[in-house]
Amino acid sequence: MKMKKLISTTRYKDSLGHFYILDNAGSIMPAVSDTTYTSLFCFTCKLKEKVEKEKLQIALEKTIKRYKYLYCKLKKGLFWYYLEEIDKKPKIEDEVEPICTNYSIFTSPLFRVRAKDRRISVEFSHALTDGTGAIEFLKTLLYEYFNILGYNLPSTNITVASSPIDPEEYEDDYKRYYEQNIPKPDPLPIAFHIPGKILPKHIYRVIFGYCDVDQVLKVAKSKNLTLTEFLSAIYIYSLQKIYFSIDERKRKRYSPFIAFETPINLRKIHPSKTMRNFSLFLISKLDCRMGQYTLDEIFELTHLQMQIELKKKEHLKMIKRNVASEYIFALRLVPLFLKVLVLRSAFYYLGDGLISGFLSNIGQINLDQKYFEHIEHFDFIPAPGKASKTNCSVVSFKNILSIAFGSRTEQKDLERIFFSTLVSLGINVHVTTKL
Amino acid sequence: MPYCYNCGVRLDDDASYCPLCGAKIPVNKKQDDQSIKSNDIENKINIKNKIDIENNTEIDKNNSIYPSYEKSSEKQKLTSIIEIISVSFIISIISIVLINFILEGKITWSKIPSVTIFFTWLIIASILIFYKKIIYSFLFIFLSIFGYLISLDSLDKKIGWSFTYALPILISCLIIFFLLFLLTTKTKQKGLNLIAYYLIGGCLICFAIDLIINFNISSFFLITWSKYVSFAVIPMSLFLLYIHHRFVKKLPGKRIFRI
Repeated sequence: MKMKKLISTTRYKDSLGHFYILDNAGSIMPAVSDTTYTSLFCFTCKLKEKVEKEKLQIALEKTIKRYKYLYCKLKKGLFWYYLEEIDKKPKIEDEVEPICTNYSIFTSPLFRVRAKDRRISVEFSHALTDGTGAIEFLKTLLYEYFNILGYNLPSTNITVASSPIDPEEYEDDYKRYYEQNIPKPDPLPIAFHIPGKILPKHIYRVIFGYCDVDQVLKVAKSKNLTLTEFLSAIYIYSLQKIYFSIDERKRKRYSPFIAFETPINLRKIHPSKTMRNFSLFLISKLDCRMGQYTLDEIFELTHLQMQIELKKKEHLKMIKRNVASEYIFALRLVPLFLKVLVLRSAFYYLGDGLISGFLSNIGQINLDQKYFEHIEHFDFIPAPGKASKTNCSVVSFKNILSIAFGSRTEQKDLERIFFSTLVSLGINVHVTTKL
Repeated sequence: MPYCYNCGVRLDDDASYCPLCGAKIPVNKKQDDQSIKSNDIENKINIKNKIDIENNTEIDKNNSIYPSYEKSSEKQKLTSIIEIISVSFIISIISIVLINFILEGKITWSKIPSVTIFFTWLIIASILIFYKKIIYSFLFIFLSIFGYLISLDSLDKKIGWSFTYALPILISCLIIFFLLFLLTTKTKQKGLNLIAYYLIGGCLICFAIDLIINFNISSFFLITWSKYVSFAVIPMSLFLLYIHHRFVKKLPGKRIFRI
């Protein structure tokens, strides 16, 4: 199939200088964000020594000069949001909690860097970038920081602060790989969302689970699954268990369709250097009207569905639907304050409301072995989800697999079932709520 | 490392309960004794420093007996201010009514100042309570002023001008003030243009008052004296707007107007 290569930059110029537009996925984020559902996701790194804030500040200033297009403030135009670069020096906050909440992307920069004791934490808004972009930023920050400390660690797989900015880094690659003739994706029903009392405003509960990567991979491979498929299947199994634990009379209030989202990094499928959002997702479905599936059946179903979605290139249909809506002239003329109302509805009925939850696996953080002496492990915490309430993110470093559940509900049944299922499969899990 | 017997997961060394199911994790006696000892020492330190965290007071070098203003939360400050204002207004009303009653044996002239003080209190309280939610503030001020005018009107046991004159004028003022407020907050480049907007707002209020008074007198919508106000205000506002836009720094273009 011929690809129409439309290089679509997000950097424009007017009488006041340069500004950036939001990429296709990021443009919806400001409409659905507030100080609780901030759209912030978090990468944290636990070092083996206490963080020296003054040196980290210097490293951050160097890193931000390299990633100027990320150190931006959100602004409102008449029809669309846009980004302006910030001139002020960034400030490192002294606290690392609360994570991903109690923050406004409308009055503050679209990311924040925090440090306390041995922790460095970067929280990015999805309006700006995705997990891949955030981890590249963090790797550069760590490289510069360790250099200032005098460790002289290698820059393999790291963009150093002194390297030139490539304009492709701030491209909207959704528009680049948009194809007009592709059909839209098949409609999905509203998905099952776990019951539970919502926590008060600005409270976002995070539970971490740590396992050995080797141990988990061994069990996953014994079921012919990848790590992501394995963990996603256990998540789906946990959702099924929660659904069937609801009283039969009350169950009618809930949708019987479990739709589980697994984000995929489109940079692995389409050539891209962008540091903006460029990911979509695969959906694995389970119809609870068919009764309860066993764990092994769910393993097989998840594996097959994810493989089929990937092979069928379903993500191209999603690109088509998302980008085409941005090109509808009548919609473009709608003033921003009205557009926001439409986007909020669209976000629920075409996105957030159609999924029961997601598990985002960023993979192994590929740093040179010399970094292992200075870094204990990484954590990746998902952004708070309004409809799904609880979601999960996974990252691995060295042999440590970090699974983080972020939740806006009081009940912890999902996390409990997930981790106890891992334990029942012979995996040792260390659970904690402490950063 | 302790385990949760319910979930099977490993927990932190100092975990006293499982974060997943809430099951209590038994703590060994040696740890208990150590924690009791450390609690005793902490209590002694707290008594020695005499810090009363609940009452937010501190017996410091100045021996202040009142709560610290800087250390009070915003909510505490606001509540205290509203309380002080309310008590002082109540004392004023009671004093005036009592003086009237003692001197004349019945309540006569004190009705007007009492009603005035009461509605002033209502306006101040609504501004303080709703200062973050301006729309509610506007509505409460409007209702308070209207309530005050109705009370004054009803002193002669007949309600007349408060509905025919005061209410329409108040509504017009409310709309125009709200529009001016929105313009002031939304305008990106604030300068002489704001003065021009306020002058035009004043002119519109004059038009509204003129129309309402003439309608009540002659049942026709007529503009009489307010046109002379506009002859002075409009040229002045246009001049201010010209100065503002001619000499202001460049206006943003594409970033604001991009479709």
